[in-house]
Amino acid sequence: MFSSFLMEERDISMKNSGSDSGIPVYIPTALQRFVGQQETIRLPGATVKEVLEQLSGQYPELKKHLYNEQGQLRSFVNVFVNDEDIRHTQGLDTRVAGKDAITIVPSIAGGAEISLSNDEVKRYSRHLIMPEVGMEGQKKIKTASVLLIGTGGLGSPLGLYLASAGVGRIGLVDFDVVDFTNLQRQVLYTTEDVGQPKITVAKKRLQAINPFITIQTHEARLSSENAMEILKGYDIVVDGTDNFPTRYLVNDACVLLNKPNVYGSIFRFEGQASVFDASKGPCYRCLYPEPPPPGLVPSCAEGGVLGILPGIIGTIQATEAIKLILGNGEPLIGRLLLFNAMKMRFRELKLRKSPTCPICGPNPTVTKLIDYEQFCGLRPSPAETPKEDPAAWEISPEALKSLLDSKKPVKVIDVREPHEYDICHLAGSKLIPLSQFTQRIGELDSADELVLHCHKGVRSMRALEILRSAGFKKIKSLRGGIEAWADKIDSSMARY
Amino acid sequence: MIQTVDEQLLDRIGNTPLLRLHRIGSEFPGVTLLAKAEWFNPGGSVKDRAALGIVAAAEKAGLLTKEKILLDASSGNTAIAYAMIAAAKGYKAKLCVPSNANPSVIRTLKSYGAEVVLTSPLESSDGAIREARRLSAAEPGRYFYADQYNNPANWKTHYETTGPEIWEQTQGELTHFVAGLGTTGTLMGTGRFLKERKPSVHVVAVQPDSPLHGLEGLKQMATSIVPGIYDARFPDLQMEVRTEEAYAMVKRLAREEGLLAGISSGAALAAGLKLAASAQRGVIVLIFPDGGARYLDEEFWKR
Repeated sequence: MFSSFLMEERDISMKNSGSDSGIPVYIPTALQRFVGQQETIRLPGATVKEVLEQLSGQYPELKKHLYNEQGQLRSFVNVFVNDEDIRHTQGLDTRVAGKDAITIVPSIAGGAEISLSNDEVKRYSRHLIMPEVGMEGQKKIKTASVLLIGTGGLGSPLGLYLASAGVGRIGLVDFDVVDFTNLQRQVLYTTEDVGQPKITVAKKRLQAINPFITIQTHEARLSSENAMEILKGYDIVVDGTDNFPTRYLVNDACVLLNKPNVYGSIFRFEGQASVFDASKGPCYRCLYPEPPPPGLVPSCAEGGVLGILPGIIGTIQATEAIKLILGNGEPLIGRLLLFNAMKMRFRELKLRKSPTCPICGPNPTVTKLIDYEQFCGLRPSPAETPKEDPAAWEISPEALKSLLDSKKPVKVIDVREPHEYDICHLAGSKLIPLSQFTQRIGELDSADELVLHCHKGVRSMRALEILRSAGFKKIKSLRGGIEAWADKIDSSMARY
Repeated sequence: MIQTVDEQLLDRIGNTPLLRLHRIGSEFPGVTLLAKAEWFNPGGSVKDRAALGIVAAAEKAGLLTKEKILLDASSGNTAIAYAMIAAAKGYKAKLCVPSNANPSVIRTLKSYGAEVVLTSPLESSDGAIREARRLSAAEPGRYFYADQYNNPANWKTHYETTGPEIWEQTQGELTHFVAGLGTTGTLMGTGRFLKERKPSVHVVAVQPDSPLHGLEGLKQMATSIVPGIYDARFPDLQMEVRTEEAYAMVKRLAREEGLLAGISSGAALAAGLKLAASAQRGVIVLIFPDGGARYLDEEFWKR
């Protein structure tokens, strides 16, 4: 029944096996850990018994998994010679020679270690034939997880290449929607995507490029509240952000979590890249202990950027991420790479770990995440001006429930996208996606009591801001979004 | 008015008997061993519960419609449960199963009219999971990918049914709850319910002792794709069982108790007896996921 599988696996393994002499024995993925991750081992012997004795002699670890205390093959271990179960031939005394091959087939139960399917082998063949990557390296890439902070200019090439390369799990953090001004450099998106949440489009595109990987999305603005929780689930963090508060936040969270941070930044015709890994070298704060005064360094929106530049810097970051995964080559740790597109010149600066670094130095003063907007001078500290409490504009799921139960006239506005609405929605809610909000504001009446909600509470706050600036007063945003509603009020609701 | 087949049949899922073993374990007079005999479900296994829970939640959320194909990976019992429920409710089902699965499982699936996708035997059930993911990613609109390993409806159905049943059947007197780990839905859902009712209940997880084993439906977590619904910190105790110990228990159950149980039931009992020996007192509830009829051709019966 499964001979076709065995034959296919065999063809590939033959190409990869070094030696030609002996009978090939195909090892199931569950047992490859005991034989140095080999899929095929060639061993001498005239019968199955002799070959398997050679095998357990060479790999004593394997023995107790194959044989019972009486030295018999364990009953659930199936051994095939070519396509034939040896139980139906002469058992362990079945003779083998020449082109015969032995396959150990596990019981169906349980798992398999990471392996590449035939389709994956074909897909990654240009990697596999290079000894620096090979089967072992490609499996490392498959088991790796990389978090992309931002899916814009840098995140686009990063996502495209890391997905193509087969990084097993790619996380995306973004909260933005695609804008016409993005299309000049953010190559993940097409004109049709304008108005859609970047993360949704990016996920679809990357998954279409490589169906063998998992894309995990975090639709949120990275903040001191959520950063540790989001970052801790990944091996490598790649910073593709465009602002200083987030850059310091990513740096600090990576230092605290002991994760490498692949850094890149772009402005006009120049870019920078480095790898900050505080366990092996300097961090971003060692390089820039203080943020620049607000307004001194213009953003790309203000100063412009060559559309191709993020392609160059992003692919450098992607290369560094792959090298970190493979544990091969010389990473950009302790080196700052500078690129000037006008001069078409790369330069390199040596970076040193700062002994007074407030987070990765020997006497750190920053031991947990802080308020980075404030650190970067973008928001006055609470002592200076009384800050408006955003919570004042929010409503809890419980409060909304009792409001609805009380039959008071309240209108619920869902600001998510139609496909999200299809997954789950509150009964009687009206759908106005955030991307159309400004155009469709006329459909709302400021005399009504309105409760806005989205998936997790971010987009609805932005919709609320739009309404506030239009003079609406009787408005609230559902804290935590429909996710919190499902959590607190309606556990039967589908979640996504 | 008599209900339709699907209502009557699916109503039979759950409310399985809790059987008190009277010979096995009698050397520990302070211990009561209770077996939740899940083969009394119409599809023949505990998986009827999870499959029904997943299908019902998906119907409610509008994710599963008559136009969509119910897709999932399974090493056997869940596939059978999906195939039965899909046939009863009029859905199409496509199930990814490793090709070395029990031949009777594959025949059963086809008998229910399900489409079966066989995956590489060398990759076991994780190969089937990868195939289901690939199919669903390639044509997301075509399928409802049930994803039993990551679907919270899996453990929730145990929280809502298996947990309360055991609570009532033992009148709250249980001290230990023992379940094998596969998707981990049974352990996580039932365990959570019981712990909430009685925090002193010990939740015990049973795993195979080796990545190569014959405990059908169970997974060694350290060497497998870990299900998303699993929280490794939740169980109070992890126990490893060797396949041969489970086989020995399956034989004893048949000969000493008259219970023809499946191999993972034997594994639960092996763990339960070790617990009994160390605790000496208590009421130990064991999940017996399926019956033994499907395993009669296994080699161990002949040795």
